Amino acid sequence: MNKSREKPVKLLLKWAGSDKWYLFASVLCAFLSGLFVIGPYVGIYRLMDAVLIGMLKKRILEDCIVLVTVTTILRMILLGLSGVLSHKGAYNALFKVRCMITEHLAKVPLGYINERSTGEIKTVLNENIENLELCLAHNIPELVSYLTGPIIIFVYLMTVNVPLALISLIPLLFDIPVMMAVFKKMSDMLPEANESLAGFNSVMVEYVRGMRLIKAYRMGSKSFKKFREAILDENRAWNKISKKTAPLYAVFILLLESGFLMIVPLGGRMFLRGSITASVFLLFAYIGSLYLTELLPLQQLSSNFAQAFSGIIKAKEILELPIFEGGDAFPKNHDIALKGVCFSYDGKTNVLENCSLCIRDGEKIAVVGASGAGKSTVAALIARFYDVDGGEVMIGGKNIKSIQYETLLEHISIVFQKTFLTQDSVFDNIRMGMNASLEQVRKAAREAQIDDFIISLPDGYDTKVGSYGSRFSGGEKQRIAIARAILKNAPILILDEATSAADPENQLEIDKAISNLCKGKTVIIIAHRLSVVGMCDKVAVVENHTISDIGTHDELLSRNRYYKKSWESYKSARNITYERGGSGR
Amino acid sequence: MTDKKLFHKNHRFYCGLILTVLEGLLSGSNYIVIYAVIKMLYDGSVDIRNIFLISCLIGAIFVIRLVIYSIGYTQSQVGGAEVSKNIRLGLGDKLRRVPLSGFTQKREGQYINIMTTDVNSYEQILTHKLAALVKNGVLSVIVTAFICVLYFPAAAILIFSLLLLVPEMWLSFRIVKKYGKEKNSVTAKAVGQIVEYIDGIRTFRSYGMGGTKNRNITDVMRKFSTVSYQYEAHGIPVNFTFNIVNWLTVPLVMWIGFIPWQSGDIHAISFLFLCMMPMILAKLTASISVDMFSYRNLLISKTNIQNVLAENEESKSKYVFSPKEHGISFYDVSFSYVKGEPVLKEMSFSIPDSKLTAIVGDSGSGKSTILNLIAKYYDPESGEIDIGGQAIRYVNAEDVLDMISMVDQDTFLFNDTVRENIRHAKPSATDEEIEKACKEANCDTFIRKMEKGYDTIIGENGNLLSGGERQRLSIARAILKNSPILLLDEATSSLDIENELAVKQAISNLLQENKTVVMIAHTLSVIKNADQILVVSSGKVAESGTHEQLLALGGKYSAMWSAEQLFMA
Repeated sequence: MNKSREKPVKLLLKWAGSDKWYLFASVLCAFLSGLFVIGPYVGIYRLMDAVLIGMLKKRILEDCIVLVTVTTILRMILLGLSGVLSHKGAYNALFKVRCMITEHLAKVPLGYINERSTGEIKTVLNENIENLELCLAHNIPELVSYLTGPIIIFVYLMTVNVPLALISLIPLLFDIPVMMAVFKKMSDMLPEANESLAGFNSVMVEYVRGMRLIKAYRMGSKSFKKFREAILDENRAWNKISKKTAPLYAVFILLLESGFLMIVPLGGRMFLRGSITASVFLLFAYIGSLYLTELLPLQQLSSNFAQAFSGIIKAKEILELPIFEGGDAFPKNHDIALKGVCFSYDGKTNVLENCSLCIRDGEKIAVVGASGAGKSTVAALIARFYDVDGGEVMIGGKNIKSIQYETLLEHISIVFQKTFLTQDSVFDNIRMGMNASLEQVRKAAREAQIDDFIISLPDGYDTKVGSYGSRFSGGEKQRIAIARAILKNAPILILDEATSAADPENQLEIDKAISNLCKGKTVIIIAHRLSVVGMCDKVAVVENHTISDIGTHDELLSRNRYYKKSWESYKSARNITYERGGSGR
Repeated sequence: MTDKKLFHKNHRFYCGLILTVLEGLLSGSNYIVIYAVIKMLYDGSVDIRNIFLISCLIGAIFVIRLVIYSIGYTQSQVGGAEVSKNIRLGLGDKLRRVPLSGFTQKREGQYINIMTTDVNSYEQILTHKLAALVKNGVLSVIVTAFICVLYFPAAAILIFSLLLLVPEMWLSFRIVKKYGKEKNSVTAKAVGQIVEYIDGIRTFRSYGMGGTKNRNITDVMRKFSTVSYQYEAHGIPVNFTFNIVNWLTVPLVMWIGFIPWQSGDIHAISFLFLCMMPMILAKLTASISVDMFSYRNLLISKTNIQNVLAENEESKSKYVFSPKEHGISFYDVSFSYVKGEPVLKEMSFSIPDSKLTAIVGDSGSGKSTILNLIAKYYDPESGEIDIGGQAIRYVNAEDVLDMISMVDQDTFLFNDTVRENIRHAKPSATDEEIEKACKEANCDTFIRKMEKGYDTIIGENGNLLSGGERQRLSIARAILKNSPILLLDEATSSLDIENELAVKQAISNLLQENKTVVMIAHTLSVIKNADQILVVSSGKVAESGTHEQLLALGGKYSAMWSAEQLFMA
């Protein structure tokens, strides 16, 4: 993995591609503008020199004024230019990185994109990458100009007088250990502070989100006490840090100005001995003791850089997710077979062990099992959300690893538990990138039992889901998704039976829609409840990490203990009717 | 606690502020030293003794500065944190008095943000920006005053450049406002699209709309990049102009000072000083400009805090709420969450005391809103709700909630043990009572399977538990509380086979005590024996009666029933 050892900055420049030249140009401008910082100092020094030796002529003054004016204007122009260039480069680069990530996500195995990782990916795309702007457009040019200024002044001072220039650096020598001490103390106490901060945050969230319950149970003062303690605790931790580090930090800041303390006595002695002129002495007293303070903003930059680097690393992690490439066309025959499949999510505990299953082309099969038994995993492996650890998954006698991934996805329709609709129009939501006419879309919608409903909307098929979506019921959304799958007309259908609450009137229509969708297809239904087994040819039972039994509903009822028990509890749950004083049958 | 008192700054903070400013002023002594050196050099009075004296003087001043600054900086940190602490306590106290209708999901997020981020930002103003602004402000006034004494025309130029801060700030804020709006709207759009793309990526990809093939997302990201760039670029010219004018005071004052020096009106030392000071002032002005800008941005946080503190409070009512019975009546109740989108429209019905009333209807028809209004989470916009003949509008929300147990689809759990989470419903309950309630609610078994049984901490908002388990804990609470009114959202159709039976049995146990029960049902078979069924349709009660009556009516209920029978068959 040579790739992962690349330095964040280098990586970022690689991602920026040709836009890195904007960034380089901006850094160059920042550097040059830093060089011109020296102008006013030189001008004033020459003026002082002339005054002190009594030689100030109008010509010299004019020279100085021109020097100061020109360098100042150049400095500001370069600074402005650097800002324009850095922002141009930064936003272009950000756009590129975002595109790279969205594009890469279109190629990774679908299994990588689960609920947990989508949260992280969103944070990377929105926040972490946005933070790079601060680094690229502000911090890098600032770093360059903050560093260039003091360095060029130091170089200039060296040309005037070497010993005094070196003396002017002494504060830095003292300051570095102080800074280290501050860091040391901070990092010693940080774990404790972070802990109380985390506690404080979660208590605060609980206090606000739980307010209803707090009021319902009259826990106001009790909860407030907990809230109060968390705040006091955080305050105590913070004060402890402040008291230990703040005085040192204050010393750190002031020490940078302490050049005076050395330069005045030592420079004075040198002046008395005649080894420096009056104006050199004055120059050092004036600039020599203050230029180091220009370095102060740098210490704030370091935390920004750390943040930006961690963002780059997170983006890199996404970009390094392996992708499936290459492969053959999709087979004509749609028999599905699992042969001795082993699989685990974490590499330790096997979810499936030596699991085999055979589904013939056009067969409809329901997968049942206790929650967590691996029903969904079976379906996920057929759609190659993950690669199996052992055994094979075959479609039409072909190992799915040898089928091109995009083609595989094209030939499988998946209806997820959680219906996803975009903010676009209902029409676009059903069409979803397919090239279909309104008539084709309506035909699919009719089969999905949703055409009437869509027509009744204020703008019909042009109704934006974004503005209206909250008023679609779960069942309506689901039927839009089914219409979408009907239009796609893929030969293999994987259906995660929705458990989200739907109203009874909707349920019948959803059932019709699903049975229309299933017509003529090879279907795998993940059955969380048993209501769907009626429409399937066969039922497969997942227990003890494998498919323990497969057969028709009646066969399983007579021979499979798990299935029999489930069916009985399903029946008795179905028969429960509530009434005053408990329940009746 | 009043608003003002909450923002009250403590002695430590003032002490810190004063010391920091004092240190800033003492740092001005650096320039006096320079002045003294120039004078000595010019007079030719440099000797070992004078240098020694000056060195001692600056050494002493420096030590004093070190001490003052160390104390001041620490005090202002501690003092600032103290202010934050008080504001947070005040906000927490305030939230207790905000009516429950204020706690929508969006508002909750804002409250949390304000209590954490905004209070931190406000502390930043106090501990960093304020001291820096005062210090730099005072220093620049002193420097200008000093120059004023030396030579007034030079000072006039410097005052002019200082005053330029005003239009600079004004222009900058205008630009931020003008282009910021566009940027914010594009940012919101881009963030929305990105979230949509990631949420729907499985769907997008199975329809061949992944990555750059998805034009929506690339377009909005490109636009976001362009608009952000323009926003930043527009600010640069103002900054640039201000900086140029600010720094050009340096050569200008040199030029202006030269004339009186040549004519002998001012001393050479004064002239040198005139040449050196504008640069220092230019630096001060630049940092004032930067600090003012962030100061103003941080003040937005203060406004946010103040807005929360100014929110309407629940009025404490003097009415005693002690209904003799617990029948519930709605009289022409209208309600909407968003203005102009009514959820309930002049709804009237009555729920008899100690009977089981079921509410059925399409999703989105307003079923759960009815429960929210009975629990006084919200007050109706018009119309009246009575419990036992007493209007709840004029009663304290807590007093109404005392009579009610609510079991709804989102059960909130505290980051505490299972036992304590149940006990909240009845603080005086013994451990035996709690366990008994849990047994009836069918959760005893799964609780005992957990690592520490009833003493297991269930994590932030109980995220270690499944939906069915959470529902059962909520039922256990209701059993323990044993209140006369029970509001139930029967959401078992969202559960898997194993949980469905367990939850249904738990609910049956809960119903054993004679109470006024209002139950939202998503399937009709569970409530066909209810004493009364209300069929809700688009914000109104369309039909009501018993199962048999409603079937005989041959209306909406009967249609729903036959659909369900067909589906169940």
